Amino acid sequence: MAAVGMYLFTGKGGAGKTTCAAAFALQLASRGQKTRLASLDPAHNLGDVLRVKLGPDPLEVAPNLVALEADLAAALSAKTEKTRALIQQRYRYLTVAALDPLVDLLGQSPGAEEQVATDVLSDLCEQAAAVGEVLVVDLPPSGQTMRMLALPDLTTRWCNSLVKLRKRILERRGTLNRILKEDSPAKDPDGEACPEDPKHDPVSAALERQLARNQALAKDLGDPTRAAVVVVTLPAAIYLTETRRLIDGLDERGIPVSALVLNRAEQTSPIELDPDPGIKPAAILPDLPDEPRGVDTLMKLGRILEAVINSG
Amino acid sequence: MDKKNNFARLRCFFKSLRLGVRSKATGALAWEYREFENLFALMVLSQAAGIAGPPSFLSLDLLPHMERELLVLLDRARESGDPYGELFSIFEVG
Repeated sequence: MAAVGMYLFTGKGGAGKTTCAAAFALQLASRGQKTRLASLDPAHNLGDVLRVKLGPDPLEVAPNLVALEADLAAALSAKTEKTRALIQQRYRYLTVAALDPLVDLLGQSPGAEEQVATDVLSDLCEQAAAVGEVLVVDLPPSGQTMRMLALPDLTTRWCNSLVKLRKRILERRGTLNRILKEDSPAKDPDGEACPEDPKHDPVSAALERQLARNQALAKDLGDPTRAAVVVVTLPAAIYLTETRRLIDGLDERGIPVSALVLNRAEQTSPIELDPDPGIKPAAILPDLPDEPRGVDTLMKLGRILEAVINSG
Repeated sequence: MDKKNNFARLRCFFKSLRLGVRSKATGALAWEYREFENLFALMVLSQAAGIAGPPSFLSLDLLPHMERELLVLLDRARESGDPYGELFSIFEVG
């Protein structure tokens, strides 16, 4: 059975994280654990590994196991369109069309892909928790994963700064409204009094929503009893060097790595990283003659993985 | 009739006086309030000006609720040609 609620598989491109995530999820499901397997890698190949055609909606691929490949481009487009629709609905005095380039700019800004992936991860966590499923995620390659997993903490810090500033604004607004009454400068573009109570202020409400969502994800990611980050690597110098950087990078962001997997290894000795990150346990997967594809082959790898990952 | 007019004039005078005193007392507070609103809009939309800012998804979430702050930001940008003049008039310097 699963020891934690979420397992995140990452590593350098080509290390086998999709194969390991799929194998591990199949193993959990075979033991009766309701499991949701999701790919957040923009270059999906989860469907290829499982030999089924996957899309953004969950598909039952085995008993107790649903799988999906998130459509990050569609999620990004939906986010900008939602903002555009809300602006059209709420703005009265500004030329709405003039804000279109600003919405486009924000939607296409650097890091948007990582942000939409983090947003989808947050949704997946909520959905899985709501129906009592364990979430197994195939993350993007290491560089993108590091930027992506740093976002909940970064957004939390920005939200905290903006919440503090917003409180100051609302306090001064309240004082001005009390003293100047109808002559108060705190009016909206229609001349109506602006809300001074954070509960009625839509900006404060939006900030609080984002804060709660990102705090919850940051808390999960920083706690190995809630989320296990599994790094998959290959027995080659370039992979081991990047693995070292990935582990250090995640550690700097307060995200501990729960397990290392050495994939396609002929050796049976433990993973040698310089210096030793001291991360145990480490699973060693054999170098199979054929690429492991389909449920039956993956199950063999899943058994090895589960024994090691959940023993930590 | 004259008495009524005088009374109305007197009321108008005291009302203006009260508003003047209030406005003087709250001038700095109103300026600070507007500056905070301007700063809030600048922080949320700083990416558009090439300054490090919050993740753009946070800005996208807040933007639909920030019409007033955007108007303040535009006003401040228009007035930015004479920032010292504005500051001095608020604090009655010179």
